[in-house]
Amino acid sequence: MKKLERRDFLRVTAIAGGGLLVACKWDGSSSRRRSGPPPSSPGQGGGIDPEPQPDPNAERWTPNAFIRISADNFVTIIVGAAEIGQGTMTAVPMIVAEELDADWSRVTWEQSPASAITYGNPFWQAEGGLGDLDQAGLQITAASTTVRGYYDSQRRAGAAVRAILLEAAADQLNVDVGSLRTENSFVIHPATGSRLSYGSLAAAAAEKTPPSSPPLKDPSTFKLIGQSKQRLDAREKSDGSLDYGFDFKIPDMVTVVVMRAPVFGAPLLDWDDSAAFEVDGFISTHRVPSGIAVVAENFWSAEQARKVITATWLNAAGETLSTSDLPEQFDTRNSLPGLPVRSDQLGELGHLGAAQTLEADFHFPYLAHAPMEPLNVTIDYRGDSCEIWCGSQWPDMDQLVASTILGLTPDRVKFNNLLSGGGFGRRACLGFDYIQEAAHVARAVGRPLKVVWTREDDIRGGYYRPYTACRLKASVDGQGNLQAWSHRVASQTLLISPLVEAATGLVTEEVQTSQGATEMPYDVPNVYVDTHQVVNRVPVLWVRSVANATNVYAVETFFDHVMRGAGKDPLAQRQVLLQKKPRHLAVLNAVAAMAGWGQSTPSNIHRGVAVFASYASVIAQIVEVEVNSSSERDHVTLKRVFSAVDCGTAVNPDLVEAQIESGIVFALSTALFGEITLENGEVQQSNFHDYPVLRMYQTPQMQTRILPSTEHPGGVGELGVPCIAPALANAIASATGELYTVLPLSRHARLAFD
Amino acid sequence: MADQKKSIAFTVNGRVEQPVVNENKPLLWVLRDELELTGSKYGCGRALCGACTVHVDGQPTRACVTPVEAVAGKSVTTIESISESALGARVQRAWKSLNVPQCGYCQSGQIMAVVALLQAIPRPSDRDIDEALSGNICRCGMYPRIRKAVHELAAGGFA
Repeated sequence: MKKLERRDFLRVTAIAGGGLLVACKWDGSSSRRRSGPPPSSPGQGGGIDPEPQPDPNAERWTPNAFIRISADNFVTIIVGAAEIGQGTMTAVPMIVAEELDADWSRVTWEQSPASAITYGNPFWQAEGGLGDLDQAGLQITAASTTVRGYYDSQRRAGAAVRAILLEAAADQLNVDVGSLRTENSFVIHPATGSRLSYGSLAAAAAEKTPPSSPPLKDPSTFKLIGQSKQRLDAREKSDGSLDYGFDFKIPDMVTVVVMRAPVFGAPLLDWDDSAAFEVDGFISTHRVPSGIAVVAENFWSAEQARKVITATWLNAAGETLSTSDLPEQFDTRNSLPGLPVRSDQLGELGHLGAAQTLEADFHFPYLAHAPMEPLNVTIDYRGDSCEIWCGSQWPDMDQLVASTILGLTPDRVKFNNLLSGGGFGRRACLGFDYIQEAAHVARAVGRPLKVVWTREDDIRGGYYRPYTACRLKASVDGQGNLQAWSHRVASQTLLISPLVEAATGLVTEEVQTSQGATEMPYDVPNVYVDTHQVVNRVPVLWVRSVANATNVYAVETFFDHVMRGAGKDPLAQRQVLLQKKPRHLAVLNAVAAMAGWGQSTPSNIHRGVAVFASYASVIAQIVEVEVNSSSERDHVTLKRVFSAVDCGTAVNPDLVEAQIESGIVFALSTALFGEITLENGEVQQSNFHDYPVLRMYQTPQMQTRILPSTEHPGGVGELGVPCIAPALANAIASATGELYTVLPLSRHARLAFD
Repeated sequence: MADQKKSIAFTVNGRVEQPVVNENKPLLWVLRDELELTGSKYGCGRALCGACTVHVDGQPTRACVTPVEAVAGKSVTTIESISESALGARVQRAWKSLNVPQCGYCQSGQIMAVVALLQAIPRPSDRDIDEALSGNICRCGMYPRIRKAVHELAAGGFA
């Protein structure tokens, strides 16, 4: 990642009752700013406006704050990233509280409103920006970027606020700042024993100018970062009191379910709602672009009404594909050269003259995210303004999209982001389907309402992980050493949404579908990776770990397959071919030690390994299974999963471990059963009975080790996912000798999971 | 459409309630919409995920498929009052202490299922845990922590 000199711009204001409020524009790319125009110029990202003007730039300071110190000495951290379960509302406050020297028992959290200008993740700016949104930074919670993106800016903010509290205390005590220290939300003057709480100093500190580049702590002196603290949102998630979007109510609200086309893209011809008027609580139906909005007094009435409404759709004009046709179609595409994304040395020609060349075609199904809380949007549209409550991973874009549809400027749309009951990418939708639909419904209905999705709506609603095929080719020389490696990906493009193209300019190169293929880590002289973009009308979207889940499966299982053919130990060969990658090697060695790789085990116990790096983190995982084979079936029981993680500084190790465990379960669901199929355009699954996910009795034991590190934090939200399916397949293959080229593994007739 | 509304009396969290509702309406939606108890969650509507688990006369019950008339005269306990029992309060302490929740959406149902399990089997085996809790889906995958919490509770922890 680029190293940039950074300066932040803080504005501190007094609040009623003697508190202090800090607003910040954190800077992810100060090079632009150093040479840029004066701070208040339109279109530029930073700078304190000395006198906020009533122009769009002024609002960045006025309503939005991110640290609040109240007179009773509580510190509230207002968090820009979304909480979708990963622990944002704990990890980000820990980072601020560390440098602030805040009393952790008096730190609370608040979810920020939508505002990329104020709350956007600096990560996206540091990465070089995304078109017109560069100035803002995106307020998107995706790509495992929250902690690694906000880490520096939040530390600097905490340190800067600590500095003005110290200054205020020095004034009050009439002593040098240097004679003071801070601890647990108090400024202490050791010489006299004076102790002043941050709360009592807040009003005076609000008159000070915070430093733009405050000194930061030496990591060896951290008191919070690196500690396994209890989640700050644990109480309200253990007593039913947290209001998710599904629970949120506004006065006079009606509930809406939408009857959507049975196949993607089919236009609505006509509908008959006469039977619905017999349903108690039913109110009305309305045509919206996505179908028929069914309005009722509450969810149950809306759902009962929807069941008796009949509609006619022009299915022939919609998507007609059957997923059973896709393997052949995709293999045909993969028989042709694609767009090259990596070519080392001779590239594809490196296979020439090999002693042996192996080839395999892999196929991965469509997958639904299926977060526990189905999608929902509460919206109060008043003609000239609108307020929205929704759990979103991308609140700033959802706000923008809603405002466009409602014909309002974004500042007239107040977007309240709520904590989500899971996301996995579904709540950062590039198609903006649920927010567009809710805005259209709000226009059509004209009263406060909530659009609610049932589980069936969710499973059938599209925005799946795209169907993908990979063609892998590996050549070995006379000594059995890898001399060439090729990986071709055919997948539906993720970034096709015209809206995203317009907003971000992200159309020139589709790197999403080659993730994990391009980064193939092994030291092979000739490497070639190319891609095909397939277009159809099944809406697709990133799912937790995106294409890493499919490409890393292909890489890691095919690697084992080649090594098995050459009679080599797959783990030892990884060690040999990762000598130039010390972080990979370290986690690999650590996980091998944890699992006792190479030690003798009962003959029906088998292990598989995989390794993966992304999000500035590295992981190696070993899956251990019991395989008992009969003439008919190979019965597989999952036993244990070992994970060794290098994620740089682990801000909260227990939450890192929780994310790895979570990734393992998520990945096992997809490895074992996850599959959305279509027949003549119709999605065949609808709920957890035919779209099963992992349950308690199927969950193996887990051991996770986080390697010590003081490096900048890496991401962990997706890190635990990509290795699991290949490590599992490799474990089974160690017993059966098979290369499993199709996911889910339940598609292989011989495999039975007990 | 046989939408007959009638008054159905039952006890919820120790209070007698008498909502006037369609007798076929699932208990979950009566709790959530009529009685404003939103701690019990909708996740599937078909008793597949367990997010709506409540106790009816002490038995774990999927409120999303239980017609409200089926609880007439009975006693319903939801997550909102589970802390009033010593066991319920211990389970909640375990949840906080072990960082069991991630997104948290399934956890009302998980906690209700765990309380019912520990009431029925104070020292459950792993197999007992599998049988009692496999009906409750956690998409964040916190099963290892739930299992650990149950074992620690059974050993007297979080008192």
